[in-house]
Parts: sequence; C-alpha cells; structure tokens
Amino acid sequence: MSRTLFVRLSAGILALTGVWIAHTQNPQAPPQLSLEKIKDDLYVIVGDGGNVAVYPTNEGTILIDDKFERDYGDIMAKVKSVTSQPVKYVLNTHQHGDHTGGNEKMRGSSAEIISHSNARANMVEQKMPGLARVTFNDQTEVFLGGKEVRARYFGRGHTNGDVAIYFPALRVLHTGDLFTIGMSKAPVTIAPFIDYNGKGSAMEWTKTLDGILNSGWDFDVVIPGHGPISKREDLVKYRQNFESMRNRVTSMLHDGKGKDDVTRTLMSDFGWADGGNGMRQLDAMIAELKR
Amino acid sequence: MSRTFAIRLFAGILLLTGSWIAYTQNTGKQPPQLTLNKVKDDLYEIEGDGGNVAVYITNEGVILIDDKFDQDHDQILEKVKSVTNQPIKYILSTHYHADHSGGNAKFLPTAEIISTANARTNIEKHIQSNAPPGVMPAKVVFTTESAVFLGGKEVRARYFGRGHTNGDAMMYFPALRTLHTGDMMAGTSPLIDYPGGGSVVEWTKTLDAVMNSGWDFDTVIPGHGPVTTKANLMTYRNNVEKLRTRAASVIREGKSMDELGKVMTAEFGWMPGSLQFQWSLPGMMTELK
Repeated sequence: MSRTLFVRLSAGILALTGVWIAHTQNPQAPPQLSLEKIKDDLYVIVGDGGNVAVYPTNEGTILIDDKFERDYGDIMAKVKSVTSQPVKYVLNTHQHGDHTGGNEKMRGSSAEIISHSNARANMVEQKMPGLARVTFNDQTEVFLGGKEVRARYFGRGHTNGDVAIYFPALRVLHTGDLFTIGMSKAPVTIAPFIDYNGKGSAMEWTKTLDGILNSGWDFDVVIPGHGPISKREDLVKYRQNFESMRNRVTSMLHDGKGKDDVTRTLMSDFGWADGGNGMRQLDAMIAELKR
Repeated sequence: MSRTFAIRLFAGILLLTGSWIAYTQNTGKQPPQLTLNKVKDDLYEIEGDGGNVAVYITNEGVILIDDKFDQDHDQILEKVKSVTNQPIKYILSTHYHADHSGGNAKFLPTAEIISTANARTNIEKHIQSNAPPGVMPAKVVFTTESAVFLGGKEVRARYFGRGHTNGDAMMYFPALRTLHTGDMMAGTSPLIDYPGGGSVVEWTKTLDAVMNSGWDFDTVIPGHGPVTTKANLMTYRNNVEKLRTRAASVIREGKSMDELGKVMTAEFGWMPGSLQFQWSLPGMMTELK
C-alpha cells in the first residue's frame, strides 16, 4: 500500500467516524422550550414533554414535572431567567418519561423528587430511572419560602398514580395528563390517553375529575399536562366530553358494533387521531367498557 | 511598669477571660447524656433526654425518626457518627412536641424533614404550652401515608388516627419488622394532649389500626422507654382501655376533676401537676362525659 493511499484511507475513515459520532451523539437538538408567565410568580415551560410549572420562592424553586432528560439544560436555563433560586423540589404528576425524564439530573443538582407511591411502583416495574425518594398515598404539601403547593391523589384515570397539583395562593391547578388539549386549542376533544399498562381506567377517569372539581380547591386557571393554559370551564368541558365519548362507545358495544365502527366514530365525532396514543389503547378500553 | 509585671498582668487577664468564656459558654446545665443502642442490623436508637430517636443507616445517607430537643443536636450527630460516615438525609417526625421535633431547626438546612400535616399546623400555631421558642415545622407534609426510599431501604410513615395528638405518625421498617410508635406508646400510662387534638377514645382504635394494618413487626421502639415487643404494645393498648373505662365511670358518677385526678394518681400513677394533669384531665372530663 502506498503511503499516499494509506493517508487518504485513514483520513476517509477518520471523516466517516466523525460523521458517525456527530450523528449518534447529537441526533437532533431537543425542541426549543418556551416560558410563559401565568401569575405573579408562577411560570409554565411549554414544549417537548409535559408542561412544567415553575414556582419560585425566596427559599428555592418548586417545579411540577421535568419533561424528558434531554430538556434538563433548557429547563434550568428557563428557571434561571426568572429566579436565581435553585430548584429544591420537583413534584411529579405521574410516572411517564415525558414528565419524569429529568428526575435523575434534578436530583443530581440536589432537588428532592416527590411522587405518588403508585407512580413510583410503576416506574420500578417498568425499570425507569429517576425514582422519587419520597412518596405519598393521599395528599402531600410542600411549604417553602412562605408558599405552599399541594398534591393529591383523586383516583385512577390516565394511570393509577396521577396527582393533581394545587397552588392555593394563586388559584391555579396543574392536572398532569388527566387533562390535555391540542396546541391548536380548537378541539378540546383530543383523545385521552388511557394508559392501561400504567393501570389507567376510562371508567374511573371522570370520577377522578369530579373528585378534583368537588374537592373544595378553588381555582380558575388550569395548567393541562400538555397544551395551552386553560380555564376551569375547559376542564369541565373536557370531563363532559370524556363522558359522552365513553357513553357512545359503551352503547355501540352494547349494540354489537365492533372495533372498526368504534374507531370510525371516535375519529369522526371525537377528534381521535388514527394511530394516536388514545387509539393504541382502544382494545383495552373496549375490554374495560364491555365489563 | 516592669516587663515582668506586664507579662504577669497580661497572663492574669488571659486566664480570667478564659474562665469567663468557659463559664458563659457552659452555663450550668449540660444536656443529659444520650445513649445509643443497636436494635437490628443498620438500625439503632438513641435514648435519653427527649423521645427515642431511631437511626437507620443506608449507603446513600441516614434516616432518623425524630430529633429530640434543640439542645440534643450535637450529641445526636456524635452518636450517628459513631456508627456511620453517612450524612443525615431524612428525618421523619412522629409528632409536633418539642422533645421529638425540637431539633428540626438545626437539622432543616441539611436534611429533609417530613411530618403529618397536623403536626406542622400544631407547631405553627404554638399549641404546645411548654415548648421552647423556635421549634420549626417540616417543609414536606403528608395526610395519610408517606414513604422514604434511600440506598435500597425503605421507611413508611402512616397516620392511623388520633391519640396522643391529632397528628401522630407511626413508622415502619419493613425489612426489619420494626415499628416506631412515637408517643402512641410511651412510658406506662398515656399522655393525652387535648389541646393538640388528642383523644383517649380514639387512642385504642388508632393502636388497633396499626395492629391490623398488615404491617408485620415484632420489635417496637416506643416514644420513650426501652425497646420492646409487639406483645407489650398490646398490653399497653389494653391499659389505655382500662384507664379510659375507669375514668369514664368516675366521671359518669358525677365526680369532679379533682376527684378524677386522685383516682388517676392512685391507680395509674399520674402525678399532680404533671402534663397529664394539665393537658389530659380537663379534656377527659369533656370527652368521657
């Protein structure tokens, strides 16, 4: 082999290796997040995973959820743009990776992660990283810098470990994925994702939302798990829509209609997307509603 | 002034200053000596002064149950250091009294403290009449149950109902079959803190609930007194029932609080002027009427 050829070959291999590394190490930069101010000292970080609430206090910052792991840097940058206080607590609304993906890194920067005991158990079962060290079953509260955040389990729905989060001083609720809407804002009827693997339930979902609406928690602003900041009325509408959808499917099944008919109706009348998260759980939902 | 004199004067002043510092820094009372006992593998308890502190060692940090009085802070640290290099990461509080939560203020900057919601409220409202100032509440509270997972180990805290106060949590170490009762079992006879939401009627129900909870334990760390057994917790529960039945019959005979006090002293060892006389007798007169 001539020396020139050897040099060229090495250079070629080197270049290819470089491209490969660049490709695998940096597939795509994570989507850009944006920060919205919704009350005096409450912000929401929108984009990529679930909506993150940011509540700064003079003793530290409380976050609700922390999106995917890849969003950690951007979340911290957004927090730093509104407060110099470190993140002290992260309350998880449920176990999914688009809400808990940042847990490991948040703990690395010495935040306390708190989740519902069922959410943690599901994460253990599914071998997910970022387990909370502190769990609760019914209700927990965090008091920091004279401010308060409450998290309560109202029952099954999206999973068996969803908690709703309440900011009493601000009359704001974070629902996690018990309430999600499309970014277009138009159809409040975006398909609910009933995660049967995570022990969710179409039958319990509306009862759980009723639990929140009748809890005595006084709120006007609602941060959904995904989608734009909403109002209490939007949550009520979502709940009614869920019930209509469920009643319709139940009666279709009662009339002997099959999965194909149900699929068509969900798409035409309830805005469900073909192949979406909701649709992927359809067999399990049909099984639950036939019971 | 000769040089020798100056040196002597200076030395004298130095000596006096030293004595003064020693005297003021060490005013009269030292906190009572604490003792550390091994309960099970990786579980110790610290007795003396305030309530019994459980020390649970993991490879990611130490979990304490309770932290005695503020004055015991240094000795607690010293005892923990004698068995592990791990820092104290969590403190689970059994209830709001200053002999169990008094160390909170000094531990809060470096440890996460967790209590029931009612325990926090009682500290904030300064319900305990004889508490020293400056007792700090937990930042994280729960209503029914909480658990802490650290270094592959687990501690559960659950509220089973009223008894000593309205916010007593009992703590369970599942891997060690050990229960810490807080003051739901303490000494020989119950102290019912009525101002703090306690109840002699609920007390036995609350102990029944822990007995029937499915928590599988053989060893019991009481709020005060030596480590004991599940059988002795049952005996304690039955004594509370006996005391309540006796007190109810005295009250229903139309006897006065003074007369009830005399019965409690004679039959249950309650000392006149004690906290039982101050916090329990008036409430019993109402609750057992």
